[in-house]
This record gives sequence, C-alpha cells and structure tokens, in this order.
Amino acid sequence: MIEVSHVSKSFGGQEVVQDLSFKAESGGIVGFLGPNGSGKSTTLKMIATLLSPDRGTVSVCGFDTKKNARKVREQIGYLPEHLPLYPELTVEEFLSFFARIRGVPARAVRAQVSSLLHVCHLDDAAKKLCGHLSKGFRQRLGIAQALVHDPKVLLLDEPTNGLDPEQAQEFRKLLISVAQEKTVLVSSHLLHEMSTLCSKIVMIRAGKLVCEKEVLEHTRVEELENLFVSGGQL
Amino acid sequence: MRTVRDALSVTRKEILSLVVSPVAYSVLAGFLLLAGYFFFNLLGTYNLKLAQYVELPVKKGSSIPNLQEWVVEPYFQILIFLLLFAAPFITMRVFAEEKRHGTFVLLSVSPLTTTSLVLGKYLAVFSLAVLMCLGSFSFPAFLWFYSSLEFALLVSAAVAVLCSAALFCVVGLVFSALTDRQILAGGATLCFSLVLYFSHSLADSVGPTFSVLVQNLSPVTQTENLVHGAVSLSNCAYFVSIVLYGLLASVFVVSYQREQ
Repeated sequence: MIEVSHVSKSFGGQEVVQDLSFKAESGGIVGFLGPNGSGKSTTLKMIATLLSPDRGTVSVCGFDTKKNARKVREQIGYLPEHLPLYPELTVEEFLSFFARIRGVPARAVRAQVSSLLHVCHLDDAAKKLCGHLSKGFRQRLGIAQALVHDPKVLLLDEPTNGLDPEQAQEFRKLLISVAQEKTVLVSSHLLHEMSTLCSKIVMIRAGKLVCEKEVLEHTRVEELENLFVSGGQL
Repeated sequence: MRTVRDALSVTRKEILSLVVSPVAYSVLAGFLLLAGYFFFNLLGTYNLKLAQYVELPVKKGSSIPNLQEWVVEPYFQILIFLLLFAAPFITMRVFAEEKRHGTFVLLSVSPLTTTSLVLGKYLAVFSLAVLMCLGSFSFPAFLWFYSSLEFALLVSAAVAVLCSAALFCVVGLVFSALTDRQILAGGATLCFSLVLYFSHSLADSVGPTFSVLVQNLSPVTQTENLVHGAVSLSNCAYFVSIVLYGLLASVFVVSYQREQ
C-alpha cells in the first residue's frame, strides 16, 4: 500500500508538487493522471526513494521513505519513463543481476529469471544483448526487471510511451496478469488507457490533487476526459 | 554477509561488462606490451654491462652487475609508473557511465547498500588491475626460474606493485563517483595520481614542517623498501589507509547522490 500525505517538492524555488495526498491500496491498478509537467514523475520518484519530499511524508507498506528507505526499496519495483539498460549484457544476465542485488536467494535466481522471461514473453530474447532490443522488448524487459524480486508495489512511469498500439495492448495484458495481489501505480496522460486498465485514478494538475476517483465499469472515457480538461471541476 | 554477497554480485556484473569492453582489452594489451618492452630493454642493458664486466679488466672495488639492481628493481618501479597511466582507463567508467546512461537510477532504487555497490565496483576494477600485474610478473618469474634470484625479493616487489594498483584504482573510483563524464573522471584521476606520485620531489620546497609529510605521501617513497625486498608495516599501513579513505569517500559521495 502507498500513502502520500501532504507532500510538497520544489526545484529552484518552483513548487512542482504542492500538498499532495492520496492512497493506493493493494489488489488493483491505480492510474496517476495528469498533463505533461504536472509533477507525476516527481511524485513517483519520491515514492521510489529517488527524491526526498521537502514537506509531508510518503510511506510504502507502512515504511517511511525517508526513515526506512532500504525497507521501502525492498518492497518496490520501479520502471522509469526511459528505461536505462546495460547494452553489453544479455537479457538473462541483466535480470539475473537485478534479481541478485534485490535479495532473491542465489539458488532461486535462475528459476525466477526463467519464469519471468516466460511471463513477459521474453523467452526468445533471453540471449539477446540489451542494446539490440526493440522498444517493445525494452518495455517488457523493464517490467520484468521491476518484477524480478516479486515486489508488493509496482511503480510504472509512462509505461506505454513510444509503443505502437499492438505493443501497448500486449503490455496492458501483461500488466493486468501480474497486477493481482500487488499495489500498482501507473503514471500516464493517456485517458483511454487508464480507463481500461485502472480500478482507480488519481488526477493531478500543476502539482496539486484535483480528483481521486474509482473507475467503475460504466465510467466512460468522455467522463474522464471532461475531468481531465476541467481540472476535476465538474 | 548480505553486504559481501551483494558486493560480489556487483563485481560479477562489472566483470561481465569489462569482458566485452574493447577498452579493457586495449589497456591490458598496451600495459603488457610496454611492460615487456621495458623488461627486455633492462635485460639488454644488463647483458651489455655483464659483457663489459667480463671483457674489460676488473677495476679495484668493482663488482659483478647483479640482476636485482639492474633489472628487477627498475622493472617493478616502471610497472608502478605504468599503472598510474592505466588506472584512469579502467576506473573512469565505473560510476560515470552508470550516471550517464541512467542505470544509476535502477541501482539507487534497489535495496543494495552503497557500501556493497562501492566495494563491488572496486573489487572489479582491482581484479582487472591484478590481472594486468600478474601478466607483467611473468617476465621476472622466467628470470627467477633461470637464475639465482631470491623468490622473497620478487614477492616483495610484486606486493609493492599490487599496493600501488590498489591505490591508483581507489583514486579513480573516487573521481568516477564525483562526475558523470568519463573523460573528466579519467583526467582528474591521472592528474591527482601524478601529483601524488611526484610529491616526494616537492619535499624540499615546502619547508621543514611539511617536508616529511609530502615526502611520505608519494607511493614512490612508500614502495622503495618493498621493491628492495624489505617489507615494512608502515608502508603497508600507508596503502591500506589510503584505500580505506578512498572507499569511504566514494561511499559518502555515492550515498549523497542516491539521496538526491
């Protein structure tokens, strides 16, 4: 579970996130919506312990990101907006490395990597160098590295950016299959994607929370679109 | 225990990266080539001196040129100087590249401790330096096999070279942790190592108060006894303390960057 409470963050005197509070419970995908530059990535980075909030607190599975950063890191899998890779390693070596440093027992690494390669449809690319992967395969590898230690919380920053519609659909299917029993927070500005993928959306604009809403079966994309455009004032 | 296990995982990954790196092979080949050139040059000079000694009438008090003085000692001193130039190439990428490519983010969000990360990277670059040194030790090893050289003396001189390698690697690690530009890290490592190496020659110009300090800061001073076959605890303490300070400095810098 993720709990963001009255969090603010400034860069060079400009407040990028302002008094932001929301919760993401386990067992569903939470969409973190907002226009470009609204502070989504900054918030995700604060949850992932990459940035410290200036004010307020962020806790993941009950652990404070400032006081218990290491405990938080054990609970999370993070996919940044632009996935950095070690181009000289093969897909298998890349996943094995992250499995080891994220505490997967040495004896279980091989089995865990092999199972993830299968789940993420990367079996055929296992021996390929990371530097030779296409965008779609890179994203699959990105989610595989985020899942490699079976984390309780998944943080995905614009995961379908740059994917073609077919790849994006495959990615959504993959995400739904792995999201059960986990807390998944997906940042995006794609309303259609969020409406089909998420059970709840958190919408921010200029670093402020504008809306926190359950997405029900009858929630239409137009409804979300109106919320997005009006900044939550309907 | 977890720290050591994690450090070894990082070392393993770094070695995998080094194995496919053309830079590592070039540095290794260049180092061994130069070491071989200097070794055979010294051996040639020694043979010339020996021939002169045999052919010319023996002067009063002159002694037969010995291998240790004419080949072994200068060879190991040259190796230390060569390592000074090789170390920046093998250390400049360790942190700078991670930050440049963004993979530092993935390491930062992992539960890996900064100590494991720094230790793992250090072990990897030091392993490569050891490999280079072992290759260069093969030349005097052949000499030992076919001559009456003392084995203990060779071991002591080899320890001097390995200690210097450990020192130059830690200097490189600190500078690589400070920047995201490999060239800058390599350049700064080279400059700092050169200043450290030649600091003994500045001893006379800094006044009596700092003279001893400056004199003892240089690895040349600290390896002098070892190369001559005399193992001293104070010399070993110098290298151990510099390496520990370097590792601590790297941990401090990387921790700070992870928290930003």
